[in-house]
Amino acid sequence: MMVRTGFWKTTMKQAAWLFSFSFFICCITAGPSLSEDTQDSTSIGNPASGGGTPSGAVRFFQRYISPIDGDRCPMHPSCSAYSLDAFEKHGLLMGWFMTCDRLLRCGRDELTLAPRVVVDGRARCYDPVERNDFWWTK
Amino acid sequence: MIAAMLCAVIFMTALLVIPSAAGEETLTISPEQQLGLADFFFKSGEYDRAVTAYETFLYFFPDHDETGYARFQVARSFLKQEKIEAALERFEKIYSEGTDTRFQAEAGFMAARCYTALGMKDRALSMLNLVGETTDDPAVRERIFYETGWTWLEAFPVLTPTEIAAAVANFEQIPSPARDRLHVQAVLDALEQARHDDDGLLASMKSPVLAGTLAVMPGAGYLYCERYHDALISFLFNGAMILAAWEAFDEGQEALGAVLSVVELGFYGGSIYGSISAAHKHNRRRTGTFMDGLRSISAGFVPAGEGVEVRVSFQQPF
Repeated sequence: MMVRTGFWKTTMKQAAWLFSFSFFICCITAGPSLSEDTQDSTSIGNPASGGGTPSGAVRFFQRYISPIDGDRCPMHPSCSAYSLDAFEKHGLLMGWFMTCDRLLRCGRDELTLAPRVVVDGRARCYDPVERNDFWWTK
Repeated sequence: MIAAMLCAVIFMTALLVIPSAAGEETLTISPEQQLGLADFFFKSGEYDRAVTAYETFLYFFPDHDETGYARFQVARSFLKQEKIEAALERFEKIYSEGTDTRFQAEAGFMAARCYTALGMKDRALSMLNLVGETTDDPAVRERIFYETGWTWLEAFPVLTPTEIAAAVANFEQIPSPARDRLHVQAVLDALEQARHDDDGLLASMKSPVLAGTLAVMPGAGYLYCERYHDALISFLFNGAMILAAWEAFDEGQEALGAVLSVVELGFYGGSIYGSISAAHKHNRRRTGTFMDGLRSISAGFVPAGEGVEVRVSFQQPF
């Protein structure tokens, strides 16, 4: 009985940690929410497109890490560009799921299933967001 | 001296006569020539210039007998350029006005085709019904069954038993002579195979619901969709992340465990999302392949006024 009590206590503690961390992540990634009358037409967009968001992290990757890492993604658009599109189009939660899905698929079965396009003289696998959200966005 | 004066007279005469002679030469273009030029552009695939030439004909010869033809060709030129909305507007106008009965039914068919291309299947079927209600011509009625059958097949990126059954029901109403001419029997055979064969189209479809349900076990959804590499990576990565998060919590490193859990939640959700998406993409790809085969054994959509010559596909590339 004592073991069971200890197990539940630990589990509840873990759940509380998980909830707190998730809430924290959601808060810092939600970005500033401006009212429409304070924005001009060019700045209105998804909160995910703000600087302190996953999009910001992706841009950081594109600017500082990708040039060192090299142009190795065999897909078009690249995983980081795909991620930006997904966050821009579908917001934080679905953008995150779609990004993770793309990272799991990158360079594997999609290479034989998706059409090829030539980008910068190199054949790549064409896999934009539109090819992965058509079944629930239209 | 006389010779010099003679030369001067000839020169002056030439200066006066040549311009007046050139001014008298006028070019007259007949309606047939203008229409011939427009047809030449159309047949050459220069549809922009064809539109201009047909419009010029309509401007200069508004009362000519072939104005109906010219208006119809303008609409066709837009359709050839895939300017579907512009073509639809013109075909509908030709159909509703009905000033030239030679092109009224054809315009109705083409308008229905435009609706299909725009993904408006119900409007396309309504248009075909409307054409059917206003004619007793057996040839037009055959065309209605034929085009309705193809509308059911072309309007959907993924075919289900409902669409195939509706297409079959329409094709079966086409009488024998037209069936042979349009290769309808071959289409019917292919549709029957798609419906009933063990390796037919419908049997090869994947259920997105089942794929998503199976994906609760990481990798199983991809495996069901025949994406073996994705399945392996999904299983290994998700398994490793879950194990790492579990171990972190077990070792009392709650912060690390929480970070790993949040990251893993994204990949876990992503693999479920990807499995459902993979099933949809599989079905769409299989339908596209099937439709390509079907078009290759048949005439597809019958082009207006030209018999069985050109296949028109509105299937989106995928």
